[in-house]
Amino acid sequence: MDENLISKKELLEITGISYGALYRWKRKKLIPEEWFIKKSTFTGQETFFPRDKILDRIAKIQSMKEDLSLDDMAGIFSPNLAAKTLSKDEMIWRNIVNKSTMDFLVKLYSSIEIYSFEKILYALILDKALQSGNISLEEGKLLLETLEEHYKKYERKNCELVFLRKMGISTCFLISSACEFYFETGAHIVIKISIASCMEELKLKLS
Amino acid sequence: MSEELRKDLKYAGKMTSPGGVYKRVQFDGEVTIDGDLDCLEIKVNGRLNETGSLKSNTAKINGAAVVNGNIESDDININGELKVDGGMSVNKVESNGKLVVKGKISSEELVIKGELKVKGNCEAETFNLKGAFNIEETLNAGDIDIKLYGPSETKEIVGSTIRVQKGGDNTIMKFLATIFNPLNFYKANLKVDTIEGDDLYLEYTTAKVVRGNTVNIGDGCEIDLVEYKTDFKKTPGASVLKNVKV
Repeated sequence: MDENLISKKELLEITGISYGALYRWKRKKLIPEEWFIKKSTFTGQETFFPRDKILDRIAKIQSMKEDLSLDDMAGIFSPNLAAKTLSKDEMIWRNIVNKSTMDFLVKLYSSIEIYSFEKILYALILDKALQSGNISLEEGKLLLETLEEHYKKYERKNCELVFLRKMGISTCFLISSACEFYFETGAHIVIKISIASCMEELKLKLS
Repeated sequence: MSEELRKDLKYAGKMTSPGGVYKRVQFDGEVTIDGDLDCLEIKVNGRLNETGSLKSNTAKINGAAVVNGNIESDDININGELKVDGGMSVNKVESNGKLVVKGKISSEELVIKGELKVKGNCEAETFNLKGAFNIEETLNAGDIDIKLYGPSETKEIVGSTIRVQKGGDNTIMKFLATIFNPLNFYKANLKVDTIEGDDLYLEYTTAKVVRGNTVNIGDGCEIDLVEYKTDFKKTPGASVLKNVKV
């Protein structure tokens, strides 16, 4: 038998994961289909994996499981650009955010070492808003929360982030692009950012 | 395309039309679409023949539809028959009738009453079937609940919780009798090479190998080998040639 392969039985024993977890990760594309190698043995057909790759991948999944959803992880493991991740230092070095925005992010996401594509995008939007000088750090937090909670619902559709203020009270929302909106005279738009253009900008910076 | 620019499309009668991008689509009658169709909502009453791919947020098919390309949709509801030559990438499928897919199905939730035929793999977080199925590759789902009402077959079933039982609900039988030969109710069984999961309960299943954490083998099973981690049970009405605690 090829010594670089590990049988499924041995894999589950070593890592302590269940069949359910293994197959869920396969469904979520955390473990590529090609790594499931079927071979006939004297006991019938058995599944083997490339030993080093699978052990490394499972260790990574287990360590990231606390902070990231399975879908976020799938993005990290998939080869396309939207799966790009950056460390804290790279965020500054790549000129995505400036130092003070990064310090603010580090305080907010203290446990995160590696930023997923989404988080990088949010950081870029936050950086734009803060650099415009129109919003405060506290309002920046509101902006991030809004993006975290709702941006995913737009999935691939264009949207804009709008920040409103009336008599010192601010609010923030996401709205489909090319959508007209009107509101009372006392309120005014502090900042309006097209997320699609931020996305393009980010992709250029990352490529 | 943004929602405002999309227009509705409505056809009644017998029509042939190119595809395109639309908002709400409704076909009453017999419609052939020559090209890809991208819409937010589609409702078919009658017969649809789609030569390209179908993309929508929600799809409802009352009648019969054939799609030569792929289907990408959030929710899809079938009352009747749907045949797909490509693959299906969907959130939720509810099928009452017959669903035939030549590619693979990748979904969150599959609720099937009737018949399911898949040439490739079938993946779901929840797989709930009352009827009969034939999946040529692997059924991989988190929570699998199968009530057998006819002969079923697949190569491999893997997941977390796997429950296979013989169905006996009269109203479902009456409904299924409109789709399959009622004689098949007496042949309600499952043939599979391998089953692997955490918690397993099987009835009327013929398998070479069954591996699980807890394995419970019920009536009508013929299993060559059971490998279990914590618990193994078997009713006297089942045949298990060998069981091993691993």
